[in-house]
Amino acid sequence: MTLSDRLRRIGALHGIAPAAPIPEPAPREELSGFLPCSNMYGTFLMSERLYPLEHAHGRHALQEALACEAGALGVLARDRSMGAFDVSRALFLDTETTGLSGGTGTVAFLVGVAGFEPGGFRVRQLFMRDFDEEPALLFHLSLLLEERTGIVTYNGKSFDVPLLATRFIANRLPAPELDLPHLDLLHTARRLWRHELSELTLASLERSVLAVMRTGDVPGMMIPALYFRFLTERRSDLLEPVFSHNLLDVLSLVSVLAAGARACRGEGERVGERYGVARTLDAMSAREEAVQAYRRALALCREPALERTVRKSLARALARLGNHDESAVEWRTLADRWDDLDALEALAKRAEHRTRDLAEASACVERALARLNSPIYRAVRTHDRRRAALLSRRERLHAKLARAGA
Amino acid sequence: MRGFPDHDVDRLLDEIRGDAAFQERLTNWKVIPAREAVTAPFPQNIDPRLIGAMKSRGIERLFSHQSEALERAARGENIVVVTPTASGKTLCYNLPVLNELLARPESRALYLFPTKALSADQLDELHGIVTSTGGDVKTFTFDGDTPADARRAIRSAGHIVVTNPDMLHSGILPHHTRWVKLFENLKFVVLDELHHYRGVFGSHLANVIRRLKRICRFYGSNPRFICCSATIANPGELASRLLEDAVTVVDKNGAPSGEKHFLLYNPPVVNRELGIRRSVIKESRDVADRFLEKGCPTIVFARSRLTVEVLTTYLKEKMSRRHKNPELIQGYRGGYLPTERRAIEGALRDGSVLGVVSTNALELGIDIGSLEVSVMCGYPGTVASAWQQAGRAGRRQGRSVAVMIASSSPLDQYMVAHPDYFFGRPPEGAVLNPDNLVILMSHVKCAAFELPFEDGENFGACQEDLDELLHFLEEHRVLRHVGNRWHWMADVYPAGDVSLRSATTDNVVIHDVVNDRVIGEIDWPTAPLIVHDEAIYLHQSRQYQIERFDYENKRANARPVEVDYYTDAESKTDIKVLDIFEERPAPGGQRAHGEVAVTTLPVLYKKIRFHTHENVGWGYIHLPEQEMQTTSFWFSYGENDHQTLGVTAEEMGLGLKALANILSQVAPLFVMGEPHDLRAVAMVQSPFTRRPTVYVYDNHPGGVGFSERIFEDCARLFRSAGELVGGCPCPDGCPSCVGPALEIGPRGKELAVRLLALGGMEDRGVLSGQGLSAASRPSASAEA
Repeated sequence: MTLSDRLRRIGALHGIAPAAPIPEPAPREELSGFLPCSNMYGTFLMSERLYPLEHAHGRHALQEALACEAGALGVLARDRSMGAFDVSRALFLDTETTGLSGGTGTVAFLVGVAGFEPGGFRVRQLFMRDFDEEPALLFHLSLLLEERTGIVTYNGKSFDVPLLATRFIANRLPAPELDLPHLDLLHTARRLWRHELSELTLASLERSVLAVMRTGDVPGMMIPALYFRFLTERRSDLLEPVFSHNLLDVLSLVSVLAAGARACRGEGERVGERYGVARTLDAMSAREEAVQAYRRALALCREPALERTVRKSLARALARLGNHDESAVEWRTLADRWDDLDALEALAKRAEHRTRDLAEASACVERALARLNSPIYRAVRTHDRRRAALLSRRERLHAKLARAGA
Repeated sequence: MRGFPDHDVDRLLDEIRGDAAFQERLTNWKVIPAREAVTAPFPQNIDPRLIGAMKSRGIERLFSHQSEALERAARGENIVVVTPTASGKTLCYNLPVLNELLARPESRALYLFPTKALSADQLDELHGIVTSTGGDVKTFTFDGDTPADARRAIRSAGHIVVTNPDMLHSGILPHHTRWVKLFENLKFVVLDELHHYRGVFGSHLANVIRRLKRICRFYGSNPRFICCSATIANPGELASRLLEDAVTVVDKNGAPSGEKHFLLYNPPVVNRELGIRRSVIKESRDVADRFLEKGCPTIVFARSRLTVEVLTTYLKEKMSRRHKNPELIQGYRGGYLPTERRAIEGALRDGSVLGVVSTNALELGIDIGSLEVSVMCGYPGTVASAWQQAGRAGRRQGRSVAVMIASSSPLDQYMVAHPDYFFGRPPEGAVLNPDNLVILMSHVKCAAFELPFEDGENFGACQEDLDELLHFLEEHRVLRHVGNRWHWMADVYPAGDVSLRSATTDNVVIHDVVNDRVIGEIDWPTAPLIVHDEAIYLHQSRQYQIERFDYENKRANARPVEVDYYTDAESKTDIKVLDIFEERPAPGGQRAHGEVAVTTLPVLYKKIRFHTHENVGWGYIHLPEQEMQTTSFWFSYGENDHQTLGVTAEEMGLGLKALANILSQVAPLFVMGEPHDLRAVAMVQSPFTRRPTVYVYDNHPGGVGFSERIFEDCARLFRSAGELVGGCPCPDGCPSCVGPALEIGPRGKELAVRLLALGGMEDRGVLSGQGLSAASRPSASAEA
């Protein structure tokens, strides 16, 4: 019995595709749009496209990203030191890989890299026709990286960049400096647009924010299988959609950056986005800017639930600024319109300790407790602590009132 | 304070000696005399800071085995240290490792412990020594519980990384590029509790080590291995099969020990017909309580989590009844929170807990101080384990007591009846088969994922044709051969599909449909007999009824129920011999081992009432038959032996069944296996041998080496089984030997004894076939 027969019999094949004869290796043809590129490690294929700076990718022209000012970059990265990030010298990067689960067995077979240069925006796609072309591809990538001072990706901090670092090690190649200032726009997108988008893939941003139209796009999870088929069948048409997918991804990086910069300038017409910017400023302790941004968001608010959230953030930000009177105005609106418990508590505190209006404080506490006793709140145990706090405040207020009366 | 300042083991031993009823139940009282320490000075070239740290802990000289381990490891030898519990084993690896790390701070070491709990514990001692040396040696545990943000620091800065084989396999090796510092500078790999790596687990670990060495070669390192093992028959062989390299055995123990009394205890028979003895749990409770009542710090080992809980409750009750604090007794097992376990360990050390009831979780080297009494509720399954559990009571000075209480299972009965066997040279040899095709294949895939194989590369000492395996994977589109390398070509993470604890890659998920949660998983091969439709499935002593076993989707839907019966499934097993590896005539017949296809067809299940064991119903099981290819040992008798034995063919069949029953019970003893590792099947006329034949096969696809070991040692196996059956007081068979008479017929036991005698005849190189004439006096040959 041959080894293969034994393997089949003992069921070692769990999770393995059925056997198929290995075809004779087909000649490595060139692909349209790609040219062979050789170096000391071998040959791979590369395509190059130069886009004019005014090229519009969706709603934004590429050059808008160049106009991104330091303040905006700091907000986009939620890190002031990234204000020094030089977009004109950054490498825009996106990879297509043989797997999504990570680990050393996953390879980037297509690497899209792009950057601004005086005459436009140049996109290169580095492609390996088979696994043995990887060292040459990686070596060329390291040369391209040398000219750049930063990296822009979408989820590259946890996926593309560590994966490439692994590939350099696994191929025993001198690793380039990958630890450059890195603007990962997935993190930016989460902060800016999560208040209105349920999904934060690059494709959903394109649809909802960037106005980029993709047709006939290939879903990311299909890409490894397409490459594996290409390896055995050598049909370039299999990969055409992958090449254009990758190209669009790289271009969209620029548009996300442009859209983010516009949002930071307060020019966007989207309330969720304005709120996202405000929250980011708040988190960066840029209090006054945050207050302005909250107000800009409020100006567009049509939806009550979001308005309540924004107003609450505004009230807190004002209080942190020391602007207690304006903060109280916001809390009062919240209390009047929604019987908001946070608002009633804040107003009670203010009345008790700041304006010394014990009757007002007492009224707020009673209103809050009444609200807590309404059927929707009564069932929720998480309010127990709040109820306890209110009750002890009531007790203290009663004592103070009694003393004041006496 | 334990609250019993004047307790005294010696007095209690005297009291027991005078207790006639107790004495009657003892089958042996062995006194192991105290040993003096054999010490040696610190070897030369040891970092003075390390010597200083030892001296600050009162260690002026090393025990001889520690010093030998240190010298050999420093010379670059792979070593396996085999010494009993409490002999200062951990210093045998901590000293060489720390000596290296103090001299060359860029060096790294990897510690592997078979379980997670253990690794957490070993760190304390290590931290203590490191602090005393004043050196900067960072030690980290890396396992499934390690927080993500700590991982980066561990990868680059940890000098000693403490983990387990599962994590190395699925979390470290597949991400080796993140561990460049570790792999480039790896000097030592420590494998503690080596005897755990046997059978399926060992076969996997051998392959994980092949992968580890391959990655180390890639990064230019060549680590040495320091292993520690409990006493087994073949530590050197086990270590060199795991490491595929020369290994020096260090087994001259220099640690002192106090006098130890080892008592073998057999509960009294309460029903001779059924071979039922008094419950091992109740006996263990009474024996343990006798010591606890006098204030002796005592550990009780039980074989299951459930028994731990029951015994803990019983012993707490006893405490309460004496108006003592029941909290002096604690349970301990996997499933308790780590913080709870740490608290109990600490309380044992400082004496605020008097007695602990534990699964074998405490058998391992967790520091619980030294107790005086160890009570084993049932034979732990291997002699090696029994010694480790006994070693939990035992101090370097003063007396200690170990009592092993037998259950009515055949192995337990054999052990208490054969103290010579028990106290003799360890009989069990650990076996493994790294080239088990299923296991090998899994790891070839993992290795290819980690680094492409190159043409002409070897995979450790793998005996199979690696090139053919790689071609096979290429045909199945898992690998791609280009240039001279084999590249991973699949969008999967292979280590995620491979469990080191199982030889199959499939599991059936058991789903509680009422509470919508998964309550467990079981191996695919055993599933049809356990989770067939209508089966009662027990989980954490709760009953579930299987509503539907979805064969295609490998899923069983269960519903919690409360019924007064359990189910027992029967299947029809057929064995087809595919290939004979070796065949030899034996005096009483013919023995062989080879590759077989085992088909199992579940037929029906019976509902059996608890306690009375009466049959209260049955049903058919409608599931397809399953085929498993594995390795088997078989023994065939003469064609006409039943005539010579003076029985009908039908009686011969029952006798063979009795034979199979006892062999499947005793065989695991010889191979350090668990009962489910082996199965035995008998046939009056096997289609292959055309003779009465008994097969004992590896119950793991592909086989992990058990049957080959049985083939080599079959005469001894048959003799041991013969002694057990011959010595059982039941008249015609009971569950403690060949099975109940109802199942094996009135002459089953007698026939089994005679068949065992035939198989147990010493092979003196005589070509046989004559068989019976030489075996007409079975009792005599059983003595031979």
